[in-house]
Amino acid sequence: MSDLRIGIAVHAGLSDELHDALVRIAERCDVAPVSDGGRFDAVVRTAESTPAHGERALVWLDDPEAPVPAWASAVLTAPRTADAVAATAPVPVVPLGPAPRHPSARPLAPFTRDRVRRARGLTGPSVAHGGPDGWTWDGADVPDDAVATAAALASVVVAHDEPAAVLAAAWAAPVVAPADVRAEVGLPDVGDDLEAAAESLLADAVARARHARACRAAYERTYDADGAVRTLATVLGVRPSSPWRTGYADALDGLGTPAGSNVRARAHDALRSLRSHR
Amino acid sequence: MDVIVCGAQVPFVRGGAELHMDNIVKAMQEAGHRAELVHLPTAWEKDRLFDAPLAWRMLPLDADVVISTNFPSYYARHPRKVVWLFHQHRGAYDAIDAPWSDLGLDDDALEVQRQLTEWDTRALGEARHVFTTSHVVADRLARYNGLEGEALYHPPPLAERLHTGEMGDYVFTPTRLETNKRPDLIVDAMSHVSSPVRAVVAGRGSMTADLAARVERGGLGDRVSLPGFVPDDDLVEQYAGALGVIYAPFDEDYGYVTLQAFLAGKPVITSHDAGGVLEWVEDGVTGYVTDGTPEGVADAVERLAADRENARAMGEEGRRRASELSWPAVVERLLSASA
Repeated sequence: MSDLRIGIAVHAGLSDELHDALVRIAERCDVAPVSDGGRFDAVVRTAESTPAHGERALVWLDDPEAPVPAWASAVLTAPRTADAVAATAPVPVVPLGPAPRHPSARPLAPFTRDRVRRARGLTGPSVAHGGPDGWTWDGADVPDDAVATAAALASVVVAHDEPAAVLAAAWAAPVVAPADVRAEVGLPDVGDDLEAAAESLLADAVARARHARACRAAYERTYDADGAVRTLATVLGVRPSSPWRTGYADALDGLGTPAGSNVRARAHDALRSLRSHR
Repeated sequence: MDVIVCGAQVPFVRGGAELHMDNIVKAMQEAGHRAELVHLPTAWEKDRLFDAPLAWRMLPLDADVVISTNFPSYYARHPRKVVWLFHQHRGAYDAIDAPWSDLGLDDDALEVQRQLTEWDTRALGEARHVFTTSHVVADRLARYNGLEGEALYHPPPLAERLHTGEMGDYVFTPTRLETNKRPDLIVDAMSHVSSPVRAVVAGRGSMTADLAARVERGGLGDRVSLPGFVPDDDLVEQYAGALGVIYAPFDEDYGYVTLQAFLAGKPVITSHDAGGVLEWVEDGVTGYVTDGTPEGVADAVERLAADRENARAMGEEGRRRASELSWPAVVERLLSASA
């Protein structure tokens, strides 16, 4: 839970995307209508409203062409419009929207995938296809309970639908997908010949690494609400109210450290002797 | 501006990286800025690998600009962080299969490598700009982390003191006597050199005894000298009086020796797999790029000895290129990237 206290000053008739964004904020922050009064770190408004004197306001923009009001400290927008808004916005842009998907997925960069496949004795091109008819690995069917593994270890994933693309991007796979799926997920353009795109990535380690990172970034832009709220706190300059409790945990969370990672235990252990024990 | 330069410290070790950090601070100060070095110890074993990055993450760095250099100093957090990357933890990337890397193919090691890649990508991705010391380092950054780095070259230590001199009767190599620097290649090459050219291999390291044994076994006592550590005054004169410099490390990040040789007007003999050295040594123009065998290196030595005028011309071209490097230009580039 973030220490942010966010006021809401938007009227009825919200767009679905604004509603989703507010739900993400409410799940992670202390949220209240501005009419309730009190101190807020920032207030979410739409462009036509007017902030109170001295208020720090976040503007929600549905339309990437809409100008950013001068009073806005940051822009909140749906992930699908974030890049377009960020291209011209004079203030930071924070994408927020859909509920998290595949929160347990950990990014595996192409070099790491190579090593895991080597450790598992997986030879061959290791190209996975995912779509409405299921998944395959180098042409062989993948059981349902191994689909995430395929997404995590394939050298390239050819995703034929949005669910496959999102799963693969969550694991930081180099994903090639048709144009409509790419647009839906925000994946980088690879052209329309997916097999050629896959072959090209297989042949170029640098391109593969860059593409994988871009795919994971697209996934985080849409589905990493925790990261978005952390960004918001940074933009607003809000520090944790009790950093001695959460300081190193926040730093570890910000780097995507898994819950059971050894470094968490080491950090906790290093501070153990400084804590009072009852 | 107040500038903090961040770097990793390996206690009791002082080499090129430490010199580089000091030189960045000095260059910033000479440009009129307040600059200080902040360095923290680090550990490389996989069980402690993340300790120092986390420590960097927690540091309050109250300055206008932070310049981070090597792993794990780029984990520092600052709104105006610029990275000038010397290298990442190579034992997790390009050198992961080297004997000294403890990251094998067991599940624990695989997860450590995965996590370090994710951490590195995030920490480096925060920077306003990522520079690298060479294209070799930029290529590794792209290959392993999918990130862009811009090569930013800088002058080597002793740049202002190095000078030209006679094309003498020896080839010179100042280097740490360690496996990756391949000083044994030079000793072995000299047994194939028939012209009356000597080799001087200066430096200290774990291969000292091995090299001495090679010299003795090969009967090269009057052809190869191993003077050990050479102080800077002598180093400058050794460069100035050499016919050429042999510098053929394996996959070097940058290679100060190359640039020092050039500033002394000497051509450089290197190997096809020397990494960043190859960004400066152009075969037949500023030196020779060999196949890395003792015979190949010996042949290059013979070619220098057989045509001293050409050797001088190649050295002069190297000097012209290296003379274009300047610390004021580096400072300007680093600070403009932080804006």
